[in-house]
Amino acid sequence: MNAGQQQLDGAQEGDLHFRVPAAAARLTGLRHALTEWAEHSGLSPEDRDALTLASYEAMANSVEHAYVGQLQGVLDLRAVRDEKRGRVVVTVTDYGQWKTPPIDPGSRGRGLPLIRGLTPNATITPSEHGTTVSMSWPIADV
Amino acid sequence: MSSEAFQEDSARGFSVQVENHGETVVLNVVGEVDLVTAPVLEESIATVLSRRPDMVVVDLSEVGFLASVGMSVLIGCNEQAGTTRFRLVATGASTFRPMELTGIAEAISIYPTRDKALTED
Repeated sequence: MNAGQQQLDGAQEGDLHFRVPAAAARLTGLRHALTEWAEHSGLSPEDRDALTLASYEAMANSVEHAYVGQLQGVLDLRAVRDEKRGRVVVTVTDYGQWKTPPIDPGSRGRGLPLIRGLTPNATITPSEHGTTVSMSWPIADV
Repeated sequence: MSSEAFQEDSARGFSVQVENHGETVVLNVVGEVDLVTAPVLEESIATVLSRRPDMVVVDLSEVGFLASVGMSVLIGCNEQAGTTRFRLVATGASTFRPMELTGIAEAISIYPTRDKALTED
């Protein structure tokens, strides 16, 4: 775990929950922690790669767009193994302003299409208090 | 063959090795391409493209992670290449598959090995 990252109380044993400043430099350590966590999640290797990349894209989106013109905020990364439904769920939450992607995103803006290509289930919930991206993958060994 | 390296402290473990093979320049990228390292990749490729070689091959064989910000860099460089032939070397889940998913694989010439990238017409 990188120094300064906070593993929050209240997370169930085996779940992953980090709250970090929404800064690009913080995402690398978070991604590595998630990759490590996913190794024991029951996902196929292909889905683990997809989970790591999609989660990174969601966090990158928060870093690049959520707090534009505001004081830097935080983002929450949660990863949960949902045994009952046989799936792994990752949510990324920020508390900034949702920016509607421009019609022509130009050379940027590949993050959201990529997320949708990497997970069968992506839900993006913008609200006035921030944005939550929720993604899930089926557990292979159930 | 001459070579030089672009590296930044903030992107430890990431490097771009530039190898000059006559009129062809190969950039051997090692590490993870994300928000922190993508600008280093961009600067490296732009520097090489500004010398207008016949061909630039960006070898991503040793890249374990490629975020969309890195793909945007590659697309931008491909557009700026002009008369320089711009090619990538990429296979597998960490680089080729994401580029396939975003449609980049259709826009840039991607080869499974460096040999193929260097020798095919």
